[in-house]
Amino acid sequence: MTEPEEPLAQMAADHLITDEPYYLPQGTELEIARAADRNGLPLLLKGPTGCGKTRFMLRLAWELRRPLVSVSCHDDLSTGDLVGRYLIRGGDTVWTDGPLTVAVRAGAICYLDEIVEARKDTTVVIHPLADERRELPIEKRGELIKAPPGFLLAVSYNPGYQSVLKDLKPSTRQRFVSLEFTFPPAQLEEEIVRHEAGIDAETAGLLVRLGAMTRGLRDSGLTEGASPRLLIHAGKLIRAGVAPRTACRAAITETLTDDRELHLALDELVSSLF
Amino acid sequence: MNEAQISRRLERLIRPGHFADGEIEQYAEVLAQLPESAQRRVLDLVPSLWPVSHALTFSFLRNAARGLEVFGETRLQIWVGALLDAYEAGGLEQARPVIADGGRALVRELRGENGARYRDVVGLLHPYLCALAGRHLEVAEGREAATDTAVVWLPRRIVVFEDLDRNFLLFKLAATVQWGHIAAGTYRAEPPSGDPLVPGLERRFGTSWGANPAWLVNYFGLFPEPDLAQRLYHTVATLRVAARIPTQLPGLGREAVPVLAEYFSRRSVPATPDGREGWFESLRRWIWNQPGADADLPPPVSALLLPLRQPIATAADAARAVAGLYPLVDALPTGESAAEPPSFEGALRPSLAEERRRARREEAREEFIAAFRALVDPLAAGEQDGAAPDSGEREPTGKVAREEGGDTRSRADINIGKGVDEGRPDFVRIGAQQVEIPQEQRALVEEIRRDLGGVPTSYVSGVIARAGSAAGRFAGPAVPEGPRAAEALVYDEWDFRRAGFRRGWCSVHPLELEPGDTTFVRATLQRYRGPLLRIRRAFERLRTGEHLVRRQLDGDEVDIDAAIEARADRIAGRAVSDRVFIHLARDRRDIAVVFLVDMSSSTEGWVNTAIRESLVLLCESLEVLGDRWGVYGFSGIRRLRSELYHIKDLDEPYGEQVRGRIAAITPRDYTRMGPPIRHVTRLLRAAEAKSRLLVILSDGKPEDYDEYKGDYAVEDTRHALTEAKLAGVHPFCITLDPKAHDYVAHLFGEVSYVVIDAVAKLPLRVPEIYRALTS
Repeated sequence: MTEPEEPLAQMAADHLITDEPYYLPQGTELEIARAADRNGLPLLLKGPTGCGKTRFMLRLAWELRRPLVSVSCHDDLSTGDLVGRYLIRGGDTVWTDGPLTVAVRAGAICYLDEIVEARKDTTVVIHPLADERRELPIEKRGELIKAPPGFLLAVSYNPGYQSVLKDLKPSTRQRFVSLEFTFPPAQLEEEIVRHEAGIDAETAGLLVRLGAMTRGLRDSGLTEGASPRLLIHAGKLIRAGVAPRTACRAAITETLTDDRELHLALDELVSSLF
Repeated sequence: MNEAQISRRLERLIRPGHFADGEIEQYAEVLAQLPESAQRRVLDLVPSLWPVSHALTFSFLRNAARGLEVFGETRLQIWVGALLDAYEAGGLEQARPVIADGGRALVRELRGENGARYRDVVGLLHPYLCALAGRHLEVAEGREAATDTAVVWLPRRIVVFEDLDRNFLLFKLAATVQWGHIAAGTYRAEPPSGDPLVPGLERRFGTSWGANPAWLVNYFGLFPEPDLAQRLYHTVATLRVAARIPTQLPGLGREAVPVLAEYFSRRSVPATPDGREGWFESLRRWIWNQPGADADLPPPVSALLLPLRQPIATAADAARAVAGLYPLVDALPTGESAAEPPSFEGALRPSLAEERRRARREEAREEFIAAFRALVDPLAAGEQDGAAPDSGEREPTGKVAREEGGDTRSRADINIGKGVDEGRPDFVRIGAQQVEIPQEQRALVEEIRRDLGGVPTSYVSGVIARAGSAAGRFAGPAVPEGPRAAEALVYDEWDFRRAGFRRGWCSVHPLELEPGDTTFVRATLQRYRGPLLRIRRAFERLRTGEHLVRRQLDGDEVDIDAAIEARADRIAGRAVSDRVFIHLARDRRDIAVVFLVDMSSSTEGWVNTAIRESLVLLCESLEVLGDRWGVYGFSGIRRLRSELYHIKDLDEPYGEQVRGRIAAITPRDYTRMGPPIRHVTRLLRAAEAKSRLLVILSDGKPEDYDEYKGDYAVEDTRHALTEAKLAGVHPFCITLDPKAHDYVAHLFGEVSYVVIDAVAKLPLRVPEIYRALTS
């Protein structure tokens, strides 16, 4: 082992969440997560984008007082990107830890966002970490890292995107404790939007109504409706003094679609509501 | 011509009885100002307007000078044509603006500058309506705005104002009002059973409940003047909708205020304000919050109507209000013809809505039976529940509909049956079994319960009757159709009993499928517009394969060769390349695929539609991919007549012809799978491609009219598939047979098949499956 202790401590400090993140539980997700953590079980967060999965992780990390290493997965993300790789530096090859390795060494929480987007081979390194072995083999270095008790693996995926191609294999799924996130019920969502954006309840209510309407447009060609996150963005713009219609257009309509007619239809919804 | 001459001429054209005293002189005076040639032109046009509408003719005469200003004498005919068009499309109200400005707006519109027209706004208002409703609605052009709760009709155009913005707002308002009727439940006005409303009216007017399927129509029929009752109900229903707009859609409510104010200021007031028309008009102004309208409303009327503005008021309350309003209006003097209602108020369509409701109810029943029959163990259900009416046989679907529709006054005769819903919302009792409602069916059961108050026993007996059974089969031979595409080909058939082939046992006849009407294809594309977009996008991502590229600037691995070379270069003092990584790149697909579609008689109905829809979606999506693909349908009867219908060859371009053939796929005879598989394997073997795929879409076991049944059929099909695998073709089966799990694993192998449990899912699943297969 040549890795100095110091960068690890530094990293742990960098990734620690110091302020309590705002989070309203939708159900029992926090209790389940705490219990899973105590038993060394990994978490699978599923649900559409922007409905609080990442915020939940922040809240959990804050509560558990542990650093949170997040990795946003994409379709070019390979094992090397997660575990680490040799880089060529001045004619020599130097090993550099990837974020997953860093998290395991530090006993931190590692959150792999949108895991299905990553290349299939990445699941191979997750498997031994996600069952009772709790170990990370680094093949290229011939190293096997045992995860300390503090290490918690969490992955998220959006079942709405891809049903077959980007589905998690059962062998992967069945290692996780699953937490389902959905668009919160209207009242809760209103409260969240109101708090996060700092706007009055009436505006928050209208934004939530708009969100619900866009979610009904899936059959008309909208891939996904407006998530609470988008509604909060719009709310923030409104609070900053942008006219509500303009704010909704910028934060919601334009963001959701490029299809001209859908765009106009969303615009009409906005102007009907505001 | 002087005034007197014009008057005489007018009197000849129009029978004098239609003029009030001095009216004819009035028109003559206006016309006398015009040059003589213009006078003749105007008078010449009167006969074309007079038979259509007298009021229109008078308006025309009053405003002739304006029209002449805009169109001149020679083209005045265009204006008159437009007047007639507008009148026919939307009555005097639509025609009025065309008259009032002498056709200036019309000229602008002819130049493309004006008018909210259906064809321009539908693309926008369709998703708007779907979003408001939170579900899919169809939108179509109609004479006036209306809805049957699944389709919203919108007028051809609204030309009230001179500018597009305000016309569009009225159009949007018209659409929103129709949504409002759906959301407010205007067409579900039945009061709860035991309500005294209907018996009370029967006693009051000495009428009795009619036989119309639509509750509202029967309700209106209780009144001596049903049309008046309907008009009143439409008015109060509109009131409920209008009251919702400012709270539900504050933006629209706000924007509509000045436009409606302008609209009503231009709208003509009935000549007799104390008559029936005057009453309706002042009520209309009150409904749309026009200033001063409150004062015109007599206290008894507002006492009846004010509660309807509250969100808790139901459609039944509105129906009740009609009974209260009726005597008040009935007493008012009539005589004046009814004013054209504003185009944004639309029309009431209780019969259409009822039809739709029944159609939806029937659909829900079918869905219910289809969904639950697979969940029920047929033996257990049948044994302990002797109530299965025609067990084993298919139940005539019309019968149940009649049973439930016989009396629309109440739902009392619909047998909800104890034990079907036992207060456990997540369970349905079917025969002796408590069946938990699967997640996907919850909305359906909820809908049925909302509509009928519970799950009727006939639904449950339908499930029991069809539990585990497949759809009925066609029994007799059929005449082969379609021209021959090629000579018949002879294939061997595997006989598992002798563990050997029957040589030259079957002949496959390749047939042409006569292209059908492509309306089906267009309708499918429209219906699945959204999903198709998603499928296409998903397919685009597939366009690539994966392979390693060496000597890249960055990548996942060090390219050792390049790194050594670079090191050597450095030592040798040469320029060092920094391209020392291996990158995984994606491109190239090399796939040939044939879809073999089951055209056996069992696919009749939904299955056939679903298969065709899935082919349409698949074909449209495959175009994005650039794979080589072909489609064939198969059916036939007996070993010497296995038919293979050509839909698309591997290298045939996808176009109208292919679309037509997809539309023409119809259920035919039996499912002898071996011969077509062998034939297609041969076709695929000849195709040059790295991967060859044979996808079979079927709804059941292989089976033919002769001995091709049971084990024999399964074993032959299995052998044909093994032959295909040996030839380098990957077979894959998508089946709709709920019992398929028993045999497809044996036929295709554990991972080479998918059973789709609901026919409705097929169209969207097929492209998805293909995508998963080839990525």
